[in-house]
Amino acid sequence: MVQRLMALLFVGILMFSANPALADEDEEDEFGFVEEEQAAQEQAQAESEDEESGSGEMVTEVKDPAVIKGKVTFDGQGPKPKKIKMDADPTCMVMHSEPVFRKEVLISEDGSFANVFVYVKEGLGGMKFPKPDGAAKFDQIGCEYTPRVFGVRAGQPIEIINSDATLHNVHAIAKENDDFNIGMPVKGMKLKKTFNKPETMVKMVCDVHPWMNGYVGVMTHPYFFTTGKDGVFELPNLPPGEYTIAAWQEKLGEITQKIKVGPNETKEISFVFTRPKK
Amino acid sequence: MLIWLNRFAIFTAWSTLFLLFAGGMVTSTSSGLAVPDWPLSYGMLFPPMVGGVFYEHGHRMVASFVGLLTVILCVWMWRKEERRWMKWLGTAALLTVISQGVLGGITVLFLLPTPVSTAHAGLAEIFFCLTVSIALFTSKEWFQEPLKIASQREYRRFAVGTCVILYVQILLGALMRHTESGLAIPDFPLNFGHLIPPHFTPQIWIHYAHRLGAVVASITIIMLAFKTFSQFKRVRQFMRPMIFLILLLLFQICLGGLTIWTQKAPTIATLHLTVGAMMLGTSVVLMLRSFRHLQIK
Ligand SMILES: [Cu+2]
Repeated sequence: MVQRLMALLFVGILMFSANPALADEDEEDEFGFVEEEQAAQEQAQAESEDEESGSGEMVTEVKDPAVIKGKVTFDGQGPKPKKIKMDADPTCMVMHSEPVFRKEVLISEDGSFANVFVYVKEGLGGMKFPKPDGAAKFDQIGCEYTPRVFGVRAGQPIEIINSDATLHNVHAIAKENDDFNIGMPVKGMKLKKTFNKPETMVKMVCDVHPWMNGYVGVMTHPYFFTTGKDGVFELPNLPPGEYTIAAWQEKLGEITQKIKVGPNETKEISFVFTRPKK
Repeated sequence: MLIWLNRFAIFTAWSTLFLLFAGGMVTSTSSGLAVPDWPLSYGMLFPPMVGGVFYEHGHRMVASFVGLLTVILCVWMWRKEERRWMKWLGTAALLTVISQGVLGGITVLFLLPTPVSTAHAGLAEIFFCLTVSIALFTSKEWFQEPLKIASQREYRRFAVGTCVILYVQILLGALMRHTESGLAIPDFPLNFGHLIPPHFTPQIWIHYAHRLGAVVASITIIMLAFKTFSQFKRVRQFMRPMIFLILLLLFQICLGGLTIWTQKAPTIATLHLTVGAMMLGTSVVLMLRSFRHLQIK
């Protein structure tokens, strides 16, 4: 009998392992759960705190606005992009006629670096800026996040959409904000979530499809930009002053630069990432 | 003795071992949160088994099956088993498997807090040991006269010690898995090319503790083997589990190394977990037999 059971166990183990293996690193963090209503309340609270604790003035119109713009590049040979194996979910697979590559490091042939989050890290002091209307959109389409890297204002809702005919779980891994994990099993499903505390970056993962990773920069001001394929960024409408500008990349981390801009001045800077030293 | 009850108990124990494997695969593939809700899965009883859902919901289904087996086992024992303490052992197993299910739910709803998921792994092994014990207690061996072999207290102590050390080692392994420390030391058998890692972080500590635990466990098993071979060479009841334990130990060390060398290939890492559970189960059998058959002078 024991031999037979052992054989059965072995068959079971084979069946479980035959499924396309998934392996993905994943940091775990503190836990927490914010329901929608609670989030709304917290948002209102955060807003009122914002206004009351206002050591700085609310900037509704920038006088003599300056512009900082430039380009993010990668110097040297970037890593070869890896193909994503979508076999584990046939619905994902049929949505792509061409092979899909991992997007952790997106470098064009001329070195232009995409999906780099450029933002003002320091220099705005206590200045407050009016909140934008409307929500930021975060879509799950073709079993990928669109956009993969983006910024929102603290307290600005994020509309999370499932455009796929398969299920996703949206799992936020944050340090300052609360984590959450919500299932979105139906195509067309939408939900709203809000991060109230500034944080670079909150990681979004789908544990169903381990290649799905996204990053949200939660900002107290409107000066942030995610680079596209051309690697170009622009931070317009800045109050003249001295700033620390940061460029954040999901695999390579953050690099910063100090720059001073005068009234109505436009300055160009560039960020160059290199292969990390071992 | 109730032959069918015994067969059913053996089946339950092996099913539990498979459940351990299925649960281990969830952690090995980082699928623990692929189903965000509990007890339902995406509000359904049977969600599409895609991606990580296959492992998480698969684990839930195997777990429900083992839960059902345990309910049947417990009811069966209350109706047919004549030994009162056995009825309560069955009840204990049932309560354990229910708590284990709830603990699994909590770990999902609170997004895998390390203490809860480690406890879920620890309680799993206790439940497995309970099913192994029930299978042994319902066997013919426990209905026949004990062998009454004269021996010293020391052997029993060693057998108990082996179980405890293996359990602690399993807990360390679980802690390592749930703190993502499985590759904190990237080489094997050395540690960053040294016997002692040149620098420490909490993750390296946990990982290194599991390696030291492996050394302690191996030494204990080898010492137990020497004692068994010298004292009970002709006693099948001791020799069989002892030889099995040694074979498992050799296999387990290979699997541990392979886990590192394959950078935690999910199936390898999970087999390492499964063989660890088999070692614990085997040492529990040896320990229980040492209590039944040995007569201490
Ligand atoms: Cu997904």
